[in-house]
Amino acid sequence: MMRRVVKKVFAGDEMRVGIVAVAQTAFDVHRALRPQELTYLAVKKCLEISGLPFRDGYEDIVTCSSDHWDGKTLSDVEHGEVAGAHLGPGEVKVSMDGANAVILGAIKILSGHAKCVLVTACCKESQVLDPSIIENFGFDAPYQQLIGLDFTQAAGLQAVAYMNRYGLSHKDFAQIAVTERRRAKGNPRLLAREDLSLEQVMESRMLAYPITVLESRVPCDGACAMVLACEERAKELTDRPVWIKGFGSCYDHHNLGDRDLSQPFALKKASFQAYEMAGIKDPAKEIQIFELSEHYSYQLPLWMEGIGVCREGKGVEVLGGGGQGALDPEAFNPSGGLLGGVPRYVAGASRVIEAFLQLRGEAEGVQVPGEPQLALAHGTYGPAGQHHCVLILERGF
Amino acid sequence: MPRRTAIVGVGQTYHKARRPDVNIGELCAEAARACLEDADLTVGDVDAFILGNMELFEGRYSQDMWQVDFVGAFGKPGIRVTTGGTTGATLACVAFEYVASGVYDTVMALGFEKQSEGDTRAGLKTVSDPLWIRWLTTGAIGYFSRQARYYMRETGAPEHMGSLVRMRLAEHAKRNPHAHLRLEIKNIEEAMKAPYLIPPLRQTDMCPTSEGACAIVVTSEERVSKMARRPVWVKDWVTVHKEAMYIRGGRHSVEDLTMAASKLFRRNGITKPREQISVAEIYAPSTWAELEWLEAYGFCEKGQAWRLEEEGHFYWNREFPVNPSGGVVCTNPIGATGLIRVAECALQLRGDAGEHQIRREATLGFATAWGGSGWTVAVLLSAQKE
Amino acid sequence: MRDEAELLVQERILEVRFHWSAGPYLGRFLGMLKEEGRLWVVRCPGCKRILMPPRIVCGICYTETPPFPNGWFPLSGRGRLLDWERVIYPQMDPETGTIRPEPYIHGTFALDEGVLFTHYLGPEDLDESTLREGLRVEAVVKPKEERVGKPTDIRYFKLVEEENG
Repeated sequence: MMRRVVKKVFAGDEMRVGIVAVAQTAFDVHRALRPQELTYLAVKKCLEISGLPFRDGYEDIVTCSSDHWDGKTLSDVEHGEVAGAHLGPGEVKVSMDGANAVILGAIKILSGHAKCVLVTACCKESQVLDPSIIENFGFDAPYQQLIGLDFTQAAGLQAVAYMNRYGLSHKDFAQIAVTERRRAKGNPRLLAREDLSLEQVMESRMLAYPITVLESRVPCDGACAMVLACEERAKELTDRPVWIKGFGSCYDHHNLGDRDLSQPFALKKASFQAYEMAGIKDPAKEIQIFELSEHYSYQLPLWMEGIGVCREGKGVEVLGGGGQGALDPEAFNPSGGLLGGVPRYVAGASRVIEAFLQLRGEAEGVQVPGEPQLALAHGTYGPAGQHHCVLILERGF
Repeated sequence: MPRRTAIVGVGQTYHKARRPDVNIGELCAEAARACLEDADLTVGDVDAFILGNMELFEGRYSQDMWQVDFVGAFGKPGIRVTTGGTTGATLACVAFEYVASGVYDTVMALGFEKQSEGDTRAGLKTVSDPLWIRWLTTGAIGYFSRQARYYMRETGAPEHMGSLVRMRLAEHAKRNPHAHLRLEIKNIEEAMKAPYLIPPLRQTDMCPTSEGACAIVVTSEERVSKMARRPVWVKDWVTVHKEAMYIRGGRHSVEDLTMAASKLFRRNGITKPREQISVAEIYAPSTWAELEWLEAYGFCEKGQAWRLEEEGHFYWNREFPVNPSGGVVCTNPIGATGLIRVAECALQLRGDAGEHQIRREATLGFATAWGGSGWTVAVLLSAQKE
Repeated sequence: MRDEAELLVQERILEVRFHWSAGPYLGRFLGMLKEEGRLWVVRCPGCKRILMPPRIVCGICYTETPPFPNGWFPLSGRGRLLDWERVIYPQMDPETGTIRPEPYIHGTFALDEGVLFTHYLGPEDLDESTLREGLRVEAVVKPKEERVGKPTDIRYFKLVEEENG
């Protein structure tokens, strides 16, 4: 039973939170730059676009980075420094997927404690040579860690559970990778540039059945930044704000055996909260853009089912064009998603950026026509999507 | 619309050097359950969870994932924030923001550290830039030995002051069943026998590494009347950071402490801090820091803190109680320590601190956390709503 | 019951490798230290303070740092002793996972150009009782073949006997 945890629904004169400017570095392998230098480049661009002065233009900073991936405790020391935290706005580090940092930024404004918040996210994956070891230590010590799990293996377990439940095949998931990568080619913000064939994808190195390396997110380096503001300030800063209409997040069980991996339980709850806040009754009809965080290709249809836009087990069908009703497969990850090369941690925040750009008609290379009004941005964290968060964005002009 | 928030439950474990009898999840469960019991709530009443600790310690990754089933966060919204030493207080501030936003009604903030499961000093050293100063850093101990030397030099404080502070905190800790270090110090001569770490800093001047967890439950003004406990109202909170201190040497600056306290005091009409504030639970990792930082926060003039200490001014039953819980020097599970400051303040304002309840009437409480490259989080709590 | 239970303990040493880039600013600093045995720093064009180590932006005035060689200059490596510590407790070296030998002395030096620097005080048999604030010090740099582009390319700072009398 879905417990009502969220009380608020934005409507009319309730205080709103707007995203007024976004910026990111190219997502690439940036051998030469340090993580904080990537964050600086994103922040610099973002402040230029928003017209806000460094430090004095905002009351709070939310950074997103990982001590493990930066290789230093308090990684936010450096990221906060280049974002203006010195003797200025406070700074808080969210050490989960970046979309959660956007949610915290929105909450800080709704709480009345800040009018304007700078949100950053950064990860330099190319400097970490042993990501699997780090991920393995993200599992509980007495049991799952000792089995030697990492996140890709957990995802493999989830993919198999999903396949078995609905009679899907490895080929179905591989085909999704082909489509995502084709779209990614057109997106100048992503790393991957070449088309892939189905054979290439299926025959590429197997990581954890049925997931091959070409069905996984391409690891890379990058940072992004965005400015959030209360309604009054947002209208001063831009005449094209994008409102955050609703959000939600949810934790699932940690032990994989306690979960039905074929059911994205936490995503369902997170979406439900977001829809309630945003006053959305029929997401499939009301939302035009969905930017989901698929770290592996099988996750795209699974997350689609989790956000409730199609029936369980039908995600693959919808993406293949055989969907119920008027569901347009092009509405899902028009950006090319994560598979095209987005750093972890930045991933969910970059979904918010892609959704923002789509709503403003500025999604260079991958713009969906028809003036979309509502978008859903999603982030996930933890093994096989243990934690999910969802944001609903609305065009504000 | 933004709304007022109040702490309606606190819980902590009985902090120890090592808790080999529990794993991380079980340790957190103890604090969560203690907190819910204190608040007379069930897990079902909590709408969201704010979790955190020091990321790299314990040699673990994404600890909140493991904590979920132990603290009651399954199926609930939640977020993980990690800001080093200030984590605990940051967790409280984020919880305040979650409730003040109007989106969630009742939120639990929980911080922990289980430091025996990692090498804390090595973990702390990775604060330093790996390519610049990490090879040299002595972690917190170098920083605080330097701080002590500068304080002595600038204020004329005699060397036994550190030990005098330590005696006060030991007395407080004896009265606090949750405190970790419960030293019996008969007199100052005995205290001064403690071996040096880096002179003039003695082993006893420096905080320990403890294992423990702490949790608070925060709710909105509308729901306060439905709660069992007398609410402790959240008046204000502020965070101030300093930039990366590439050089760890020379005279450290206390700008962040001064800026945070003065912002908080100015916004809340505090002009005579020792008069208007009833109790201070300040995050001071060393005895000497406690003295200097009381001055930095503005509770007394520069050089005055040690003289007030000599008079016993800061004892639990005296004019201006400082760290009646025993403070960080007696108990330090890093991810929880900042939250313990807030929780202990709340206990004092509720009149529930038992044997370490201050004698002075508790109306306003000041709780801080410190960490990072010189970061301060300061929280103002009140027994009254207005 | 609990007291009698056997506690199972696992021990593991985590080895996680990193490939850190020094970036164009710190990288140039370390590169010049290796090449020339000198500390090249840069003055912030905005607030004029010396950035040591050099970094992409000044966290205080937010002025972007010009790339080498604009505004960069080498430090003399000379200054005065500000304070020092004799470290006498064993601690882990996070770079190696082993215990660092002790005791040793490190100090903070106020270099003549107006910037602070922390490093070892040497040589190994340095008598701590001779140390006073204000003594002149200078960097002792390793010979070129031993330099690798790390701050430890400086062996230590030594007291300058002639100037200290």
